[in-house]
Amino acid sequence: MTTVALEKSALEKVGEAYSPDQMFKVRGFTRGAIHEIAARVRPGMVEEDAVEMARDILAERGMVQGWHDVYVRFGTNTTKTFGAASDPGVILGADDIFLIDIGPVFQKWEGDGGDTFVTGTNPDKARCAVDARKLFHIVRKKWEAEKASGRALYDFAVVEARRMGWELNLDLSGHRLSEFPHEVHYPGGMADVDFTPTGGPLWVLEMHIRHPTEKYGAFYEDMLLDDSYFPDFKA
Amino acid sequence: MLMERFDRPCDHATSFALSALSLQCPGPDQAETGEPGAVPRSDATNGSASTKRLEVTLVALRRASKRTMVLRLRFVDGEVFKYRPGQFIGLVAPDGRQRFFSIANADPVHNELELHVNRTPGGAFTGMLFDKAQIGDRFWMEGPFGDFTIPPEASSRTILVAGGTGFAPIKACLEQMVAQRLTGMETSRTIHLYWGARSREDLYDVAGLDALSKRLPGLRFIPVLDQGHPDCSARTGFVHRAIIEDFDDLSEYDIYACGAPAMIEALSRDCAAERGFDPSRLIADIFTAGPACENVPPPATSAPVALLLDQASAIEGVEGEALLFALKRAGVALPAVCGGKGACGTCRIHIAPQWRSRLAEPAKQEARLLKFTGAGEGDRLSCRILLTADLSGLELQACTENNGDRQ
Repeated sequence: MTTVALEKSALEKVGEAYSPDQMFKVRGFTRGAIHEIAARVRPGMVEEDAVEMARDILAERGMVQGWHDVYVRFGTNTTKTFGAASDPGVILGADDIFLIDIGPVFQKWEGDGGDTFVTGTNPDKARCAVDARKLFHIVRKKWEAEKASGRALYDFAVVEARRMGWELNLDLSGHRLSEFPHEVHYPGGMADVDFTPTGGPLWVLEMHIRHPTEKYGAFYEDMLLDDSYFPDFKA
Repeated sequence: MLMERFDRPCDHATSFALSALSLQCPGPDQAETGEPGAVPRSDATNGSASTKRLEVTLVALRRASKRTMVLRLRFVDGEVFKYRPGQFIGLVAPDGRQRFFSIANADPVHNELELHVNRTPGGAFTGMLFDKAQIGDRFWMEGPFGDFTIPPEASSRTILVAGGTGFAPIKACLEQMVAQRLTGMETSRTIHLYWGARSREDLYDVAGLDALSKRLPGLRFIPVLDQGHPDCSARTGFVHRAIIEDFDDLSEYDIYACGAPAMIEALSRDCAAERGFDPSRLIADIFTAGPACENVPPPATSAPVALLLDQASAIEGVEGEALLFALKRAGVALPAVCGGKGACGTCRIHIAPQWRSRLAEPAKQEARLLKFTGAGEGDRLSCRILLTADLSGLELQACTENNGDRQ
């Protein structure tokens, strides 16, 4: 236990500039930007143009810098893992799926968030988008109720995703946030820690699910927080 | 005096001297296909009481072959790390996930671990180690993991099988045998080591093995190459077929094998079916490839591009790569938090006036980031400058302040 406690205190370090209030403020900006970007995405748009538009929106809101790149992924590109280049020139269809993943820096503080949207009525794609969010909350509730470790949370997430009919991409398996850049404290994944991540703006939980055979997936990401921070969530 | 009794001596074959291999084989093979993998798979990767997460610094980096890199990692803050030869560690990659590598030395001499890294085709992490890692880079590592080991008191009915960088844990175990001076007491004991590799060049540590064999006179080394060459006397074909050719009866043998799943499965299956081998006597460390990543292609060309840093240091980039990566290799401290994607603005450099007009104008996002981070005239983001032949001679200065470089 001592080792775990030491590890936890080491990996949850923050710098002098860290401010929970500012971190929550950036969370709000991040969620707002995701929805604003999504609202401007239209069928017929080329993915590269959507990324440009997303960068413009973030820059207009004082979030020129990102600790990671801006991802707006259309259709088959929604299966791409974090950091992977999209196939170029993908155009969003009228009955399609797209995801957004942004990691903006506002002044000195990092945000990170993601969500998935559909353009039509395809029930499988709609379910995929809904399930990414649902899985996020199922795993978050396990953390809240059982104080499970990061590793246990993602072990659980893999099983739950499969139960829903999806494959979980563990390349995206949660991580730290802090004053910019968090990588000086801990650049690794939440799924690699054997302690219970502390709630608050220290960690993000993320779920990237993919169809087991078809080329689409969905993503949802937000801070690891209790129910009180998710007024729209209903268990 | 040789004490071992073969049911069928390996007369036609090939436990031949290491130096002979060195002399008789041709130069590097140019095949580009990858090795089975560089990632030991084990059920024993869950942390245990003895598992530690430690920070390490890259202190040595040697390209042992076209596809293999030998790294040495030193513990930061003089941490003491205990492990058994044969075990492996996880290195935390920039994507946050661990990639697993066997420890290739028996004792952490000078508090350092040796790793043998095979370049996984399309592998983001091994690609980064090959193309971008530099002395002084820091990593988080976790371990030790795994139960694989070769007991120093192993009998003469012991066969060791390595596939590619599966040699690493076997080397650690052989070093342990040397350290325990068992050979001094039992010089007659013979241990067969079959090392399978794609080509002569992929037997990347024959010199090290030669040195070990001088202190382990019973060590018989049988290289088995995928690709034969008329001038090379090494065996060719599957490594397990070589064992089957050399032994009539394997029922009393223990086999220790490290390598790809297909190699180990075929070894167990065919040796059991054809030579009476008891599969429960197979101790294996199975390697699998790490997750692939599509965004780290090798440079399109290897043509060098000369660069002059701070009016003093001549460094070399490669045509087709971003300037950032050439600078990182040369040891320039640039945070590049976003990994060179043009998102964070923390890889700023200053271009000498006579070169500015020869660079393409910054695109919108670069211009925005330069303005936002307070860049001066002539400053650029090094991740946005793609090296081309006509930039040979480019003069630049490192910026002392890059937002994000606070620690």
